[in-house]
Amino acid sequence: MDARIFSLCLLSASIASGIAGPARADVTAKDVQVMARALGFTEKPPTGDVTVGIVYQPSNPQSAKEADDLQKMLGDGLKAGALVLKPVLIKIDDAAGADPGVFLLTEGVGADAAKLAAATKAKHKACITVDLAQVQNGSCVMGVKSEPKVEITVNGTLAADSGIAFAAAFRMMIIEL
Amino acid sequence: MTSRKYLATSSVAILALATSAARAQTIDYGSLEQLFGEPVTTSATGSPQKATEAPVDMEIVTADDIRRSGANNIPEVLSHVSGVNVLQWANDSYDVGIRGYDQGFSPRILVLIDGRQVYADYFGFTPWDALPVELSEIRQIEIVKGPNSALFGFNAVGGVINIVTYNPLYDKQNTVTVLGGTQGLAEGNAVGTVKISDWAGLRIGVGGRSDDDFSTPQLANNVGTRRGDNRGEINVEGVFRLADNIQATLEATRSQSKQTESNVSVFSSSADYRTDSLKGQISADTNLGLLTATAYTDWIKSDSFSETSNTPGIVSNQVTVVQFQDLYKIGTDTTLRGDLEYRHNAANNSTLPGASVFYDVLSASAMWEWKIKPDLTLTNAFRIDDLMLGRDGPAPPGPFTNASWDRTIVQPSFNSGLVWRPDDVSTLRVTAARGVQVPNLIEFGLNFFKAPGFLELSTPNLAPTVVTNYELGWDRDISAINGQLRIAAFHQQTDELASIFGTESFSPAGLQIISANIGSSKADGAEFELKGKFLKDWHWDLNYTPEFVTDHFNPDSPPTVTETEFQHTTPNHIVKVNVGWAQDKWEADLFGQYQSRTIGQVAGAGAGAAFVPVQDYFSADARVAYKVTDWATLALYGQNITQSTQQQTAVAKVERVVFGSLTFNF
Repeated sequence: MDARIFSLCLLSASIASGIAGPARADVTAKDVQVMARALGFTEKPPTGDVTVGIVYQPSNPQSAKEADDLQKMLGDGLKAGALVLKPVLIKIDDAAGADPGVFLLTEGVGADAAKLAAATKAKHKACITVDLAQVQNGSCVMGVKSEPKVEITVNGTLAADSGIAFAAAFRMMIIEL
Repeated sequence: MTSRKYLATSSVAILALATSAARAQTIDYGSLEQLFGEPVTTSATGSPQKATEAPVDMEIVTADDIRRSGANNIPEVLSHVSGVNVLQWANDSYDVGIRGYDQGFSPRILVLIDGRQVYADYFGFTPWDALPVELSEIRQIEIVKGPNSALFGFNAVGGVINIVTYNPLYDKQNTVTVLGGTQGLAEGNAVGTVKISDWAGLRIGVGGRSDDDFSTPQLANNVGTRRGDNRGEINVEGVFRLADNIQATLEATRSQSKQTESNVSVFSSSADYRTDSLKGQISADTNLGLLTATAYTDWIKSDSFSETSNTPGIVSNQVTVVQFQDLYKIGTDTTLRGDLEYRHNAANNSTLPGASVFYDVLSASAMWEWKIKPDLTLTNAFRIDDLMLGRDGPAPPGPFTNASWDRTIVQPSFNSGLVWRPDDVSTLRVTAARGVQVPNLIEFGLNFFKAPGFLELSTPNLAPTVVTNYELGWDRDISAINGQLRIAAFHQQTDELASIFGTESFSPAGLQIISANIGSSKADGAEFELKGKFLKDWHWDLNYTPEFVTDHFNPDSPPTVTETEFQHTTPNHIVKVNVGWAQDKWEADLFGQYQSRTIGQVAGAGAGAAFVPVQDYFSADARVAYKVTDWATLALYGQNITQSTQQQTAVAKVERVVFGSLTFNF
């Protein structure tokens, strides 16, 4: 390679590598928008008003606060993509008896999230979260990260057990576990 | 049953069997872009990917970019893109190159509209003015830098430009635009979309333009006819949802263009083009993967000396392509693509009536994308093309008979790319590729010109031009500027360069010129791009492309082979800058470009061939727009605004162009 080209590239890379990138944000309205749009790529995409079951652990302040914040964010109904998301709070211990359009799992639920996995399998409902560890351990179907770039992680085994299939093109653009 | 019928029947049967388990829709660019917050492309590997994760160096020009570009044609839009070279020969005549190697009738860039080739095989170039598409119906223009023959086949060697239009099933696009300005410009275009429930969508685009050519003096040894542009086109696309998981697309286009152009010899000449196309496609999201069957035919007829010569130069070219593709994800980490293609290409030239040069190509390709880890992906694609050349009709005078054209060319091509994302803000790409440029039909036997003491022919014995490319790329988001740094460095080797003036011999009958392979060329280059946003309403982009080309011509190549001189015609330094502002009802954009000194060919080949210096220059384009109502926008555009006339090529200077537009959106 031409020495002039090599030198220029080396110099530019050195300067840029010392510049910090953007920091990771907590759950945001953008996360919720991404969640809603991702649901549009399921085999039977929801339409119109969708009840979002915000699943939380009352004994965990982080989880309870996130649930409260999400409920306020969705308010009487948040338009996201083609959907209007309407919140309902669900304690993790009540997940088995709940029947929302989709479960939204808050952070901080911990090992109890396994109860939610049992509910999604039984009711064939999707579970979405920003807590990627819960996707990795098989407690929630889909994990969403919207900053700095949108990344979607799906637990394929749990999705299949929950009767949830995705469009082929969508599957090719996400991380499947 | 013929083999072709058997193939078609079998494919329909496979589709029918595979669709028992209904899935969701096939690729919806708009919804995927909204979901991932960035453009989505299939032009890198055939598989849908986020633009930032594609294993190629790629630029995507969005509909917003096009609107704000201040351009009223595609080459002007592309001229603002990093790593893209644009030569403007006349008011409406352009050639586009990627990473240099731009020339009259630039053959190295494969141009497609929605995957349908609009590259003119008969002379290996793109008649930009005759493309049957309006700017307002383009969702995005995908620019792949470097070879991508493993996906697109022959001629995708310098790069690929895939123009993606709005899908009428998902996207509602209704606009009417009228334009008027200097050089007598009068232009109008309209795009309308009709959607019938959620099972059918129809989009119609229509446009016309009339203007005058520049009136700047031509060089004394390159004086040719100049005339204004007269362009018209209509395109119709219907997309039908046959079932939840099956879509069919039908498309028909027609265009005509009359303009001044510069051909491979850089002769200024008149050119009339008439193009037609028909395309059908059916795709299904099945248990066997995303299956797609495509068939299309392009017709192009050109008359390149229509007003300047008594010698007819009418070429008719027909290309028919049939493709079957399966895109399948296995497990969680592997995506495979398999593709079979048949292509028939035939052309005839009025200079030798009744003669036809043609070839059939059978191709098979495969792509394997392996997500080794969530942040590390290896993609390998391989393709083999088997070309069977032929000729019929009266044989030309000279050393060949029709049997000389009975030959087969088998060429492999590949693309490999490793993409690593070490953190949330960085992407590293390492790629290698081999692309194949097949000789065009003029070079391959269609060229015939006879005058007293002079005979110009072409040969069936040309070897394809092969381009190999090695590249390292690094992208990094930088929050401090709310933007991104992109760096790419490449080494590109071109072997078996071909020239229609490749050999000269003298006989008692006079001078005989025959096309030939004449040497090789290599290029080392880089691209540096920094872009960002500030003060909420402003954005900016600064990019620099250094490139150094070295040609190696065969010792026996005649000195008059000038159209393949790239060492001094490719600019060593190009800097492009863009600053844009948008607030409430206003938009303003300014584009600048500096190009270092080059030389340019004048006066064609043979004894009159020559080069002249083209001094370095800075040019600028601008656009200011005001949204009068929610549905009407007024805009003022300026191209080449720094000077009234400017020398950008070796032919006539370009002029400042100013025009206004009124756009209605419904």
